Amino acid sequence: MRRSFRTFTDRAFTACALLAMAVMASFLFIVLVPILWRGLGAYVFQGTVEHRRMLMGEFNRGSEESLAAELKEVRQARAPVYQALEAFEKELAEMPASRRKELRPVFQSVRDGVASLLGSMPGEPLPALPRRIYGKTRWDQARHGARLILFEEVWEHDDDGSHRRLEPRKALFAGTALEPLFDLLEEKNLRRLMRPRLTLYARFLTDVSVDAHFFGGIGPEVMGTFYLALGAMLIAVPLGLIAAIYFQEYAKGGPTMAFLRSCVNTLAGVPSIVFGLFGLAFFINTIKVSPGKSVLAGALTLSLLVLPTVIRAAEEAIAAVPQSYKEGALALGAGKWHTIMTVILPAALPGILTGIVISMGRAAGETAPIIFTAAVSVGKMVKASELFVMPTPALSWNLYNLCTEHEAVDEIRHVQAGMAATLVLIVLALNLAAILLRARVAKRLKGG
Amino acid sequence: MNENATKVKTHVEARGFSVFYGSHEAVRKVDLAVPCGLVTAIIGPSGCGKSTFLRAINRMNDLIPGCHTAGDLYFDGQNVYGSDVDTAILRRRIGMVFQKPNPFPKSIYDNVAYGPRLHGRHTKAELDVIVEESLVGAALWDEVKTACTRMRWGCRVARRSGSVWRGRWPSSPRCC
Repeated sequence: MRRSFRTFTDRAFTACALLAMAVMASFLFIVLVPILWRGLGAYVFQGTVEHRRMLMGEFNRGSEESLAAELKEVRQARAPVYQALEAFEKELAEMPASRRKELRPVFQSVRDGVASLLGSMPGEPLPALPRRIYGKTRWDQARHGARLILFEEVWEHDDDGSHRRLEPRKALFAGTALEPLFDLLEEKNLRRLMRPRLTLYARFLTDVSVDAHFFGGIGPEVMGTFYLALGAMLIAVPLGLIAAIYFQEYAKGGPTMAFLRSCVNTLAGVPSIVFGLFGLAFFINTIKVSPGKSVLAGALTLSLLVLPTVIRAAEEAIAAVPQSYKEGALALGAGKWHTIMTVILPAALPGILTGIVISMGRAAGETAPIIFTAAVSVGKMVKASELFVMPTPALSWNLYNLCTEHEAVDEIRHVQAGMAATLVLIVLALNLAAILLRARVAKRLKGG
Repeated sequence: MNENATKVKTHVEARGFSVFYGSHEAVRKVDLAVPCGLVTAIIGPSGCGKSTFLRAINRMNDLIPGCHTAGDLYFDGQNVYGSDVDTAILRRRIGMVFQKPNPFPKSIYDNVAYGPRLHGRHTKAELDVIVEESLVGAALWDEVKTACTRMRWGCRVARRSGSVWRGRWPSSPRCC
C-alpha cells in the first residue's frame, strides 16, 4: 500500500511537471512566433515604387537611373488615373446642382484617397510633409488604400449592433468620366501603378524615422536603448561588484550587514515605476544631473533598478567558487586582495558576466524608469557628445507610444511590430549569451 | 630552553598550545618540537586534530569562524600568533600540501607559476625555468609536455586534475 502510494505520487508529480513545461513552452511559442513573424514584415516586405522613391528622396539611396526609368513607366501607367480625375472635375462643374451636391463629397474623398495612395498630384506644389509627398510604400498598405477608394464604408445599426458594409463606388459614378478610374485601381492594374517588389529593408534597424515613423526606420530608438542599457551597466557593474565582494569576502556579519542585505533585497522588489519617479525627483529635480530628461539620468535610474540583480548574481558566483581555491592561494602566501583578484574573481567571472548580461537585457527592456527620466517619443539620433544633456527615443517606450499615442496608429503597424521584434531579439540575444556563459561556468567549476 | 636555542635547533615549537573551535577544544595543550633537517610525522586516529594542528602552524585556521588558540607556537623562533605577524609572509615561508589535490582553474603553467610570482618572480624566462624544473622534479614534465604541446601550456588543469598535477610549487622550507 505505501509503496504503491509512493509510486503514484512520483508519477503524479512527473505528469504535473511535464504538463507545466508543455504549457510554458507553448506560451513561449504563442508569444514569440507572432511577434517575430510580424516583426519580420518591417524588414522584408513587398515594397512599392514609392518605397524606392522615398529611399532616394530621403536617404539618397538606390540607383538613380533605374529609379528614373521606373518612375517614367509608372508615370505613364498613372496618367489615365489623373486624366480621369481631371475630366471628371470639369464634368462635375457642368452637372445639375443636385447631382453635383451628391457627388462632390464622394469625389473629394476619392481624390484624397488617390493622393494618399500614389503620392502628391503632378502639377501641384510639393507638399511640406513627406507623408503627403510619397504614396503607400508597402504593397499591403497600397491594396488597403485602393480598397478605401473602391468601396464606401457603410455602417448599419440595428438591434444586433453595428454592421459594416462595403458598397462599391463604381456604381455611383457609372457613366461619368470617373468610371474608368475604378477599373485602374483593381488589383491587377494596381500592380502596374505601384510595382510591388520583394524588398529587404535591413537598414530599418539603423535608419532614422521620416515624418514621425511614417517612413524610415528605428535607428534612434535602437541607439537610445543601447546607450541606456550600456550606461546603466557602466554604473551598476562596478558598484554591484564591489558590494558583492565586500558582502562575501570582507563583511563580518552582524546587524548592520543584515540590514544592508535586506535593503538590497527590498530594492529588488520595488516596482519599476517607483524607480522612474525617484529618478525624476532625485536625479533631475534635486541634484540636477542634467537640465531635463537625459540619457545620463535614465542610465542612473536604470542602474539603480538592476543593481540588486547584479549584486545577487555576483554574490552567488563568488560563493560558488570552491573554498579550496581560496585556501590554496592563501596557503601559498597570497594576501586577501591578491587572492580575490587572481583566483576568486577569475573563477567567478563567467557567473558574474551571466548576471551582468541578464541585467542588461532587463535594462534594455524596461519602460517605466525611463518615461520620466530619459525617453522622448520623437527624437533625433542622440549623439555621443550629448548623452549627458539630451533625451533619447528608446525601443521600449516608443513601442508603447507608437501603439497608443501616434496620430495614425493603424498606418504604422509594421513599425510597431518591427520595434517589438527588434526589442525581443535584442533581449533574447542577451539571454542566450547569458545561457552560454552559464554553461561555461558550470563546466569550469565541475572540472576544477 | 632560551629563544636562541630554539632558533637553531627547531623549526616549529609548540608550548602548551591549544586550538578551539568555539568552545570545543580540538587540540589540547600540545608540547612539541620539530627539529631542523629531519622528517617529522604526526600520526593519529581520524578526527584527533592532526590537520587542525598543521593548519594552525601557518594560521589557515584563521579562515574558520570561531576558531581561536591558546598557548604559544613558534616558527623559526617567531611567535606565529604574535600581533605583528603578517600571515601572508608567514604562509609564503611555510609550504602546505592539502589532503585533496587543489589546483586553480588556470593553465598548468599558471598553476606552477602562482607561487613563484608571489615571491616576486615575474620575468618570463625565469618562470619558464622554474616551471620546467618543478614539473621535471615532480616527474610530470614528459606527460604534461606531450599532452599540452598543441595547446602550449594552455591545457586546463581542471580537465586532467588529480592525475597530472597533484602538488604545487613547493615554497621554501617544507614542514608538513
